[in-house]
Amino acid sequence: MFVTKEGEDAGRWCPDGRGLGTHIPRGSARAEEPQASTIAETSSLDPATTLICHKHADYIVALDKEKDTFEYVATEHLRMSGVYWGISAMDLLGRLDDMNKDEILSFVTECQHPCGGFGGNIKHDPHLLYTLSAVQILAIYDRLDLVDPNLIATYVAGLQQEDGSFAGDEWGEIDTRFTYCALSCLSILHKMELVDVKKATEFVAACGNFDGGFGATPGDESHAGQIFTAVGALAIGGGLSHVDKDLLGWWLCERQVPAGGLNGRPEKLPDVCYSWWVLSSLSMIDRLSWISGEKLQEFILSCQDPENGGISDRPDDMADVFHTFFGIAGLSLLGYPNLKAVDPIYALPVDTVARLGLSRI
Amino acid sequence: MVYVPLSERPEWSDVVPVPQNDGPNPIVLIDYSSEFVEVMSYFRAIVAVKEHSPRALELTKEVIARNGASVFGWNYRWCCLLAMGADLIEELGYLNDLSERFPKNYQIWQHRRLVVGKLGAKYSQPEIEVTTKVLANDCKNYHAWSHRQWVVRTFGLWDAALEFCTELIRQDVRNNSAWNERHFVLTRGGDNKANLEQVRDLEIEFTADKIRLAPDNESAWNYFRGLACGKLLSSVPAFKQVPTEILESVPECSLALSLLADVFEEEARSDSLTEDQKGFARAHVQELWEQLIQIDPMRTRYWCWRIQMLKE
Repeated sequence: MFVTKEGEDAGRWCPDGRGLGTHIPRGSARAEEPQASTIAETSSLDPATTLICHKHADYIVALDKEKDTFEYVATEHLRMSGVYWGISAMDLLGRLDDMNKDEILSFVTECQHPCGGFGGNIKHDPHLLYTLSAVQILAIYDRLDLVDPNLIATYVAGLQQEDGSFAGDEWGEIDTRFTYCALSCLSILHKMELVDVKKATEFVAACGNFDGGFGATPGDESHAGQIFTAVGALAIGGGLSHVDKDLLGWWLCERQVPAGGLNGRPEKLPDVCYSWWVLSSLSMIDRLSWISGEKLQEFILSCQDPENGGISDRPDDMADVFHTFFGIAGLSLLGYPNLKAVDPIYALPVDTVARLGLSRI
Repeated sequence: MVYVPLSERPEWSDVVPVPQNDGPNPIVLIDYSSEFVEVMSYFRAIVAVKEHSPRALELTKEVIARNGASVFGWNYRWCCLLAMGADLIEELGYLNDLSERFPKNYQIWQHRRLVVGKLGAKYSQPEIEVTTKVLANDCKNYHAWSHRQWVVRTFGLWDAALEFCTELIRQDVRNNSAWNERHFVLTRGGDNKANLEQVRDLEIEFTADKIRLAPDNESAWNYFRGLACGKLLSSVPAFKQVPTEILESVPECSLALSLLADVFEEEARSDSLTEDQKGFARAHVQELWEQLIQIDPMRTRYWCWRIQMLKE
């Protein structure tokens, strides 16, 4: 569910094409005329106060058809995560049936390697990031039967290191993101017993900082994206006792800036994706109400593209599927009407998590 | 530099490129640039036969130039370097150029780690210098800080580490990354590990000075509070004195009010104080939180929760 390289403020958390600059002003690359029928529909909905659901769904459906855009080509290496963001958003919008399920499932299975791991695209090396995305996609479609859970779980377990941490792939990058990917994957597959969960959570605890937050490895600065992975991994691994909930909750609620949006570190600009990383973390430690949901909702809605659909990082930037999903998921956590509920730990629709038997009691 | 198609280069004439196979029913028909398609097709061909040669090494450069995040390309490059026993110092030269141009690309930093890890301590100081350069342009670059910590920790370069943070904080007192580094250096410092408690008084003085420069600076206040090292805030007089002093000149400083409130809340719950003292603290903390609701209305529910918790 994450990306492998760094964008602007959002650290490694926002895909930014090839690192050629991140914030593309809206209208600079996408110039198609809005269709007459959609203009009529829009006029009845005020995007400042309403989530324009049908536009976002149309935007996501169209993404898969516009294969000659820069964004499409530039995100080729993380296509698996792109598909996960797209179908999760569609599911939360109640429009999952508009996606081509058979094509997606055949793409996912095609990306699996004999070792059990999945690549970000066909014939790309396997990586934990894409292995989790693949498992999440299969879980949403209730088609985990298409894969051998033991094979995937063995691949994931093989990436655990002596100190309990997980490498992202055989090349050894260590990051709390990968601990989250591993534990989430194993939990969905009901194979947690294959790894040393206690050591895994102890490694995450060692990434904790004096401000209550967590970094990527021990000593690294606290960062809202890393906090989601750390707290998520601890929640799955039964290690939430390692979290100072009040201190962390305070740090997280300080992420809300006067404009209502959330940033990822002090002194950084707000970004829609933090609506997810911060909110889900607050939710996991039962402190969701500490921020102003009203102001955050206003901020997310202001990042919608009222003409073409999709949500961007900040108002008037170009929309992308990553921010569209995390914007919608954030609104779902805030209880926005007519959206399916999303699970803060697994970043999956609550009904999927329930079907997997993983609901929080 | 003008790209000469690989199909027109004599050194590649014996290789049959392998096109991307999107499967029988592709949902991802990617319209790559023709250059990228060609480079990847030749790359797949050499990976398929595990060719580790100078031309393979050159080809990974072409892959990386077109997609710097390609773990596939980077991994294969490292395999080639190892298999060929290539000159890793030359490799560092290549990486130096890339690190400065693409400082947010994790793969470059990871590759540096592999190379320097192999070359050993003799090459550690230049690594510090690379991060210094990158941080001069972007003082919050997460990868550069993380790489610097790795170098400092792996090669024991703790001596100059504190001075560096002090300088960066001097340049930008709101640099949260530099404050984090300061905590890292003072708490994780190798064999000569400085005990944060031993230097606490000095650190309190240092931090208080920085808070005076910018009382609304969350990073400095968080660091300041972190100097408690798990001890009770009320056991360190500065945690009351410094916010009180700040509030004299900036009465609406929410960060000062909130620290002060935390100290009073501790006192209100303390077993070692008299009922009168506790009552005074309780009244005071209530007042502070009510003031915070006025100043910081966005977090009203948080402050109300604090009030509620004390009542319970």
